[in-house]
Amino acid sequence: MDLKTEEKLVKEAKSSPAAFSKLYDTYYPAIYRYALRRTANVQLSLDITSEVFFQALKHIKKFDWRDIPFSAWLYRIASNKINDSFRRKKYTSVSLDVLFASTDFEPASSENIEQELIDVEENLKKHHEFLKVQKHIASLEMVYQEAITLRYFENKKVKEVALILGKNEGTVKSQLSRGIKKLREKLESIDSKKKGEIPVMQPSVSFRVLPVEVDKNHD
Amino acid sequence: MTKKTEKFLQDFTFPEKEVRKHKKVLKMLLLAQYDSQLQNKSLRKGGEMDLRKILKYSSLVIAFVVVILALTVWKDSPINVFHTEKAQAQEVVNKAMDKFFTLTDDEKKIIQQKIQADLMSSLEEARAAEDLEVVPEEEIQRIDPPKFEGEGIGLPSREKKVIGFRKEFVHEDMEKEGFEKAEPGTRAMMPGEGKVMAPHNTTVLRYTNPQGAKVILGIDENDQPVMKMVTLRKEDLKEIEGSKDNLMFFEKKID
Repeated sequence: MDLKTEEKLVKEAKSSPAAFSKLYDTYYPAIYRYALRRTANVQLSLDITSEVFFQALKHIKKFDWRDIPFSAWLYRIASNKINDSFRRKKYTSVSLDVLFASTDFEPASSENIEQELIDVEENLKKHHEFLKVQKHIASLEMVYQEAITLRYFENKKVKEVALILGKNEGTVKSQLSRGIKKLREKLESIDSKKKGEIPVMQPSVSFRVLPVEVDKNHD
Repeated sequence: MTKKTEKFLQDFTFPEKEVRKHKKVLKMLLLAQYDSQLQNKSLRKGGEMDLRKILKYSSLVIAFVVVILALTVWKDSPINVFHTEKAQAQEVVNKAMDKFFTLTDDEKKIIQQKIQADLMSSLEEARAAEDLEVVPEEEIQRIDPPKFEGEGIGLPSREKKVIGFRKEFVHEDMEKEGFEKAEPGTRAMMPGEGKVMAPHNTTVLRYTNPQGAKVILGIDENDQPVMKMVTLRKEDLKEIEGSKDNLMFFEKKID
């Protein structure tokens, strides 16, 4: 969707459910896909996607297109939700069951969703290479994870990544460069023979160190 | 090598299957909630502007704003103090980061050799730390710069790093790989007790890194990092020393 059309649709969506529905149809795949590529977890990705669109609905009246395009805003919400889930290692999911309870609404059959979920999870498991690389990316610092996934998995330009993350382009480029370097090291270290190495941190001292009393009563 | 990794990532194949039912059901739920989400905060009641509601919210907002203004203006207010301290520390880091982009590769190399860490990562780590603060002057012991490069007492030369190996992985060819057996009693770290030593005209920052260790980062008057110390917690040091029967320490030259 081009930016002009998006802007017009967002304006309408503030008062028209049909317009909001069009935005949803356009961006649901992208947000779900981004969540899946960051988390490699189907259920979590669905929860995050649900949460993103509920947030979008809740705040769409206040949304100002001048600061950031709508699509970038959705990605930013998604990024924050994903980072929160990684940080806390627990996630308050917005499952469909909870949402049904609040709206007196029930689908025709919830069994079909379960089966489809199983199928999608089975499909995910077959992508071994992706799962392996995703695991390494997920072990990087959050700033690198976001930048790498948006740039290379979502094919966003540096400018778009900067807009989504609310940073300047120089910072994003530097984060991409560092992130790729760290990822490369991780991918290469799989073959490393130094399995017994336990690096011990050392103070980087460039001055004369005055004697410091050390507590010798460790035992 | 970076280009190779970039190409590798760009040529990836991803799982693309969606849970279509989820998409459909979520849409219905969103639309079912559309009216209530958008009208909940409305000040309209049956088409008429609810003046009592407007007045109630307005007075609450005004009261809140007055309190916040008073707290930010009041010199000793907790908001003011924290904001000033952390903001000051953030500003120091931000200036150092801005300076970083103006440095030549050689200048960056010199600084990285001094602090024995990647420059940008160190600054980013500091900026992201929640407890970043400027160390107060009363906690600092100011010292003169060393006369000789790498001068130190009781510590290995800064040209070498200490690595612990589990005994079962120590092999005959350690020397060929550049490892020398460390002197008995070699310590890699000392617990961070007492004053922080720093040269004059250096702003000393302190924060906890993602691994839980305390980090001291010194930035001079030219906005350049000049020292970085990562301190193991006492319990980590105990752990390493407690397992020392199974560990052998080696030194390796830093490239």
